[in-house]
Amino acid sequence: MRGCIAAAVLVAVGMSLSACSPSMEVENQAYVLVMGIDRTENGEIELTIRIPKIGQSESSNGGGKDEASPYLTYAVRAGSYARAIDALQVMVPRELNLSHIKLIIASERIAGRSDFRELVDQIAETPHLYNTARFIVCEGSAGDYAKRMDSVIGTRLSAEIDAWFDHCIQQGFIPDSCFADVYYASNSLYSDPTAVWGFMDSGEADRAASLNLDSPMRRDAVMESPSQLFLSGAAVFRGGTLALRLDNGETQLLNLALNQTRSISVALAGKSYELTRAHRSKKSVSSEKNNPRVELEISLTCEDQITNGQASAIEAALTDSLLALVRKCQSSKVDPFGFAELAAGRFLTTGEWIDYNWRSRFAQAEPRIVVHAKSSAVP
Amino acid sequence: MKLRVSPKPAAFSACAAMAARVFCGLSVDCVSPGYAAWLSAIIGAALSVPVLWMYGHVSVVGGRTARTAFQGFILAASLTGSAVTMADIAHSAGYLALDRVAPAVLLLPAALALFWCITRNGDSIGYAAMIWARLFALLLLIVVILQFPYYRPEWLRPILGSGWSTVARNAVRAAGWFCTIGGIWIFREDGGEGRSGKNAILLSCAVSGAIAALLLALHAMLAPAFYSGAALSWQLRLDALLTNGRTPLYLQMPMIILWYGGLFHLLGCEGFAAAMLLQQMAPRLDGRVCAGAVTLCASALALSGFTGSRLLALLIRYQYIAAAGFCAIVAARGGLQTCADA
Repeated sequence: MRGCIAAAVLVAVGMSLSACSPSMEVENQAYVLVMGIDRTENGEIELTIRIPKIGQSESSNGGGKDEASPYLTYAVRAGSYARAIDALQVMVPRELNLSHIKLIIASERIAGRSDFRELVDQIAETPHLYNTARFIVCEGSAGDYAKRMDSVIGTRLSAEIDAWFDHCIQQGFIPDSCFADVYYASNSLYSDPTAVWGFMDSGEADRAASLNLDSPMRRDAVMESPSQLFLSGAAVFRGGTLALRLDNGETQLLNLALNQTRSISVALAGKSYELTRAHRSKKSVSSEKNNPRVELEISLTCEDQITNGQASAIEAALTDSLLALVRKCQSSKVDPFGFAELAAGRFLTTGEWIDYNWRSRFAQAEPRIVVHAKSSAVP
Repeated sequence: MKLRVSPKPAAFSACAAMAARVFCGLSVDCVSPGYAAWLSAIIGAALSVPVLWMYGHVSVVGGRTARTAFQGFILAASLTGSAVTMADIAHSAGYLALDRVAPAVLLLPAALALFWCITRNGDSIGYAAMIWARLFALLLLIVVILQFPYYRPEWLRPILGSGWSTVARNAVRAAGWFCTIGGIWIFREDGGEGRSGKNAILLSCAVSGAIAALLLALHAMLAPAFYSGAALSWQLRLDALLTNGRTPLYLQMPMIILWYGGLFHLLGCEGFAAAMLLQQMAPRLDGRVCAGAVTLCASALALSGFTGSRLLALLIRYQYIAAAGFCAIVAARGGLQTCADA
């Protein structure tokens, strides 16, 4: 008898903890995979979501794509983010479920507003949304970007987004960051966060390639998805608001400094060199509190046989490019390099650290860049 | 039915419960988790050592009145602790159930589990904690290995966080939890133990303090504290703990096992301590009646919203001072003497 009671109690406990109820049936759930967030000209929040269809008979009523797409699109406009979410819950014929969201897209327009940090906080507070979602800041309309997201090579959209991002990160053209990184860094005391930069116009790739032609970094490689969407470069935030855009060459250098990429390609005098990081990049901040000096040391090896002259040219070109990148960030008072974390270690309390005003100190800091390049090939 | 627990299971149960309570209290249950919580856990454990050491003197020299008063204090603390833990379990279940289930239904499994645990008696709870200790270490190792690339040790700095005042305030809260959970050891069976007993609870306190500090430091290296001090929702705090927004989803499974396992051992320890003390204060009550009474009271408190009230937060802040003051007064009145002398 006791065993029966114990078994019944255990089953009851197990069932309740697993949260089994009719409302959790897969057929009742509208799993959002992509969410675009934008602000209209009259100040309303516009949310656009993409959810997978259950059957072919289902159709979207928010201005979706063609009927052949296995994904539905819904778009709403409301006075606030919370109201927009409420409106979506009414509009979508199933239970809105944000727990499987893969990608959040914010337009450049909304990310540049001073109240964007509050919006990021509200997104993070949305129940069940907080699940390693990727984050893009895009040119133009976030809704249009979201609507164009589709699976065109036969895989599921969720798998395709992961594959697309992973490939771009491996190439080093975009930062390895997700929505939570931006959320944490916007609310913490350390370095400024970066998000992925995206655009839809293929002409942007040509424009990117025409910039800074004297730079040794590849700028023509923008990462195009099968849906003809592009990822290239990084958006840097200051205090939770978009402050600076880095192109893909600058993003490669930033990733190299942050140890997020292992190899880069450098073009000098018509020749391309494949360089691999020999050690983890070393960062340091000098101990002078009033006029700190920030230092970055990078060691690279070239897979091909190179002469001392070529090595010196690579070192000089990369040093100049990194210096230009640091100075560009200093002029915008953003520190995406991680120097803030090092400098914060010199203080005992957050109050002292806040009073120190790192952004202003970093803007005036003297940068010192050291790049070592040598050949790994046996002569 | 007599509620009792042997020394070894009591020490293990207290250890598991102390670590879980301090970790929850300084992270997920904290509206605005601050920096340097790990430091507060260590200082809290150190602060509680003299009080736990004095517990023996209270039992021996305090007399029946002092003993009963102190039992009442630990009973109240254990009961509210059980209610807080039940509310945490219900919130966690609500998180998974998309908040579509009534709070009473969410609370029911925790209440049933608590009643069943208490009626299995203290040794079952204690030996379960011994098994849990091994499983916990294994799961934690898996989580740390898989999350290793995401840890950011630099987020532990500035080392003192908001300053000594915040560290001290959190340390006093942690010390209060160490002292009240230590009650299961002190009042087990008929109370009053020799030197080896006191050493065991001090060891439990030290180990659980180290575990709680480690867990808090690992958590802080994954999710930095917010300088704004903004009040975060309980759901976001749990999200930040389980998924972190940065680590892969498959890591949720060991994290969820760790989370629920820790909470249920905490609930079992605090609930059993409350029931055992209730029986000691009213010896005519059967153990099952005490278990039922504690389960009902804890459930009612959890449903009432008292567990999230400012009054409870205020009481928790002063429970260490109350425990320490009580022990000091009784020990001073009885004269400082060792148990061996007594």
